[in-house]
Amino acid sequence: MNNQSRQSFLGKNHEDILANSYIGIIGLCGGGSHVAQQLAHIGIGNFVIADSDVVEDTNLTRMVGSKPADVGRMKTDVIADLIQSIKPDASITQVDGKWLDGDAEIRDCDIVVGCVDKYFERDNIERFCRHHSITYIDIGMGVHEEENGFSISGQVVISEAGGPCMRCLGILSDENLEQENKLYGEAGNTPQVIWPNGVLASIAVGQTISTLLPWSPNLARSTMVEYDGNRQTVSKSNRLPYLTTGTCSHYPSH
Amino acid sequence: MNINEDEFAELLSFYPEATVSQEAGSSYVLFPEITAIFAGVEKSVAALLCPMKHGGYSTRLFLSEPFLARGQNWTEHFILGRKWHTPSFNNVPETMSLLQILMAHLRHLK
Amino acid sequence: MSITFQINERLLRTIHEDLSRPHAFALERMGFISCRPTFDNKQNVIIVARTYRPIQDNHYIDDPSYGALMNGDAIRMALELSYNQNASIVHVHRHEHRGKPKLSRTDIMESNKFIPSFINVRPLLPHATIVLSYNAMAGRCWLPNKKSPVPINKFIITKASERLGVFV
Repeated sequence: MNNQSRQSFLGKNHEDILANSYIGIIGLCGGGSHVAQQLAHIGIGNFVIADSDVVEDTNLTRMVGSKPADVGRMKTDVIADLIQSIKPDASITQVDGKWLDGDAEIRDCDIVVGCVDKYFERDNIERFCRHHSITYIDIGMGVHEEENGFSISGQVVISEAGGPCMRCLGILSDENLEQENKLYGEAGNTPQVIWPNGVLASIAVGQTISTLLPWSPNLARSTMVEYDGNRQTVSKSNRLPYLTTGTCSHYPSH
Repeated sequence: MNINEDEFAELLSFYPEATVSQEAGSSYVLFPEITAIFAGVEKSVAALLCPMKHGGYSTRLFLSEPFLARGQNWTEHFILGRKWHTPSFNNVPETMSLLQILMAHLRHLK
Repeated sequence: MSITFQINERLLRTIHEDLSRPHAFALERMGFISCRPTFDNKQNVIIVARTYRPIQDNHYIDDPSYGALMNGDAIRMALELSYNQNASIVHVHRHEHRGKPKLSRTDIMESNKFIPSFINVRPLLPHATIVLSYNAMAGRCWLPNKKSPVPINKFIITKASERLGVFV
């Protein structure tokens, strides 16, 4: 019996498969920190982590693994420490600048989990992953002001060869990219809280593990899962039935 | 939106190695090499022109390297298998011909 | 068109460790690497190594005229890997020296025999054979729809545990 015994339902060789898997995490704050922590606990052996920012005071409320003494430290350092504290033999490549500085290393990855704020970065990461046939799992979360309060919502999307992309699903569009451009330099600090990040990160980790180690032939791995933080629901997106085909016209298979 | 064949033919007369590709619903004209004045210096770079709406810009020109002395807010983009650089420069309308769009963007980077 | 083989340092170390293990009668060990092929912006092929499968001890044939010879079970295992994972397969073995290795006549003859099996299973993917030395590698790649293999031009070893990029 070892520390992975209770995960044995994941399959006979699950330890080896996890230890030899390479996971990229781009964006290491609200969502990415949860993802890194969970994947380290599960036993992923190889990480490529990317974030060009340092920890700020406002990150402490939601960046798992961060503490006040970390303010001013590179986020990659904090998350590398977190991973290593859980899994000391993990190999960790840290991309401190723009994530594309580590393009060869990210190309090694079996799966990339994107936990970025900007649609523009999502677009870039998806293009990269589609080009290199890497499964891309994207986490998005938002807090929106409504008439009588606020709503919390988010989604986890799997974008991979042969399936719909984030443009097919309406996550990315010229309209929202244009809107984002207009706000450039004017964007205030968008509201963020830890628990929806945790929910979405856990879904993304589940999607990651179901990709590496499908534990049941009946696994319904949904392309898009939506979280409604006000109704406290997690469900398959209702956009999916409206896709005319399951394939993607934006990224034809090569 | 597809590239206008006549306009592309005109472009080819100046840049015979230009090719057209599609990705993520956009069409691009790829120039393996363009020689022009960038930030006051003549240089040859690879270039990628999107002659239609792209991420909130009416048209956009991407280059194989940034020229920080010209243009503002240079960003990196991964398109058609490689990294590209582009400044924030909008309002070159897609109604112009391909050649005119290219020239307008290049003029901004002179 | 150029062909690049990319492998992470950690995986390469694992392969070297396995190839260093003695065998009861084979003078060399061999294995298969399942790979994900991709390409760069100029349509040059990049074969990214993913996982390594050593050839099991009982899948070697005891033939003194070869440094190492694998049986049909070894190839069958690799064919299943290629098919099930939709993977490019790279056969690997090592020559015991430093410096740039070279595929021997036997290496070439043997790989010409078994690599076509992988093409039959996954004809749209590149498959290859590489030979390692202690500090270098060389190889040949069979591209889809091409009759003859071509040399692998470039080898990239990505580091495990590295810092990249400049924080601005």
